[in-house]
Amino acid sequence: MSSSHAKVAVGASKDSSFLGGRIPSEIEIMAKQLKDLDQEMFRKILKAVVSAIEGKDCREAMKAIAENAALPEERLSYVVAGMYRLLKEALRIPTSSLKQEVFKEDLRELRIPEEFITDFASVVFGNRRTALEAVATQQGPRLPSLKDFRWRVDVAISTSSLARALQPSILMQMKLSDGKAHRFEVPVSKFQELRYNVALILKEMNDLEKRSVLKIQD
Amino acid sequence: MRGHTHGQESRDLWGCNMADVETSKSLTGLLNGIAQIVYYNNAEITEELLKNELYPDLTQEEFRAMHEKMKGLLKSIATANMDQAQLEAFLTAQTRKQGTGGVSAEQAAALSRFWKSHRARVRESLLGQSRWEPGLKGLTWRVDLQTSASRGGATNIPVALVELELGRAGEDSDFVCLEFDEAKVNQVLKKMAEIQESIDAIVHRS
Repeated sequence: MSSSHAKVAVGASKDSSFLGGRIPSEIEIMAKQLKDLDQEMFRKILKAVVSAIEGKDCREAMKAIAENAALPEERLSYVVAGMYRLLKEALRIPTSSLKQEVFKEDLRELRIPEEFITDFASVVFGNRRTALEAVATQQGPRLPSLKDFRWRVDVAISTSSLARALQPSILMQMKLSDGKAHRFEVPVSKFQELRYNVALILKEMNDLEKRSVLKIQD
Repeated sequence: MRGHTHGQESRDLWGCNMADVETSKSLTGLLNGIAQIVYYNNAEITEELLKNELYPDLTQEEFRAMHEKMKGLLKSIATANMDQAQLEAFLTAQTRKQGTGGVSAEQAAALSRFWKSHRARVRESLLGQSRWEPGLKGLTWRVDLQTSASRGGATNIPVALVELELGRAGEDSDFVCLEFDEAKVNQVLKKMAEIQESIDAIVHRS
């Protein structure tokens, strides 16, 4: 192999592809199926698969493709499965670890036609990448996040225990991504503490991004 | 502590002298006890305990009457959250009352001293009685750097994990854990600035 074949994150052997030591079978099968597929059809299928990865409903698109008599259903399913797996595996690796040339080289080894390699590369390394990563982040393990945050400032004028209260207080309502809602009171003194801490969190996050020593690169 | 003396001793604002200090001590103790029961939720203090410790020589009835009277006076003062001027006017009026309804000068002095030192705490307790929602008791947080995930996704992104402690006094707290990305923290901070503006407007007006 030429010396331009750089080492990739996966596998110790310098000949292994970004897909690992053993190429997943659905990708190998897909590679065979792509041989006499026309590019227009390929692009239609690719578009639908990318849609699916983004979490969108692509049943209509797939139905339209399947109804095209030129492609038998079995062949279509092999192509779809292989494409999906290939893209998922490539998107999993950060762009700092897997470079476009290496990606293309690995696909050439699978004997995937050159024009299809270009199309695959445009998905993995193009400007759609950020959106695809955002979806993957959403699907990962996470704690609930804040979906909705409302607040109200009240002043208690008078209460059953205190004829003249004149006490401001903040009422907060949070709706979380897991569907739970929390409503609670925050006394003004506690609010100052809360606000200070949130500002501190933001500062920490900003600082973290600036610290280049923590940018983990291969 | 000198024993009972009469006549020429100097008297303070309420007309009290050294001799009155003894009675004062018991009354101060009683007022403290009342506050513990009514405002500070101290279950260990009882009426019986107070009588035995502070007024062992009184009969049950005599003590009960005194206890109720002091409790009533304290309640009036607390509900109105009296300031110095109001308190003086109130107590002066009480000292002028005839019969058992009134208070003596030394009792007025004890009440005045007591309120000066307990006013803030009693007020806080009363405000708490009108809070029905759980309150924010505290928060802890940390910022992590997410480097990778099983299904991929953006790498090297800071993630803030926040734990809020919510609850009411005397009850077990709820702990709510959330995660935030930078954009979300920014959003929340903006809302907090709005809240601050709102508070400032109110405080300024009052």
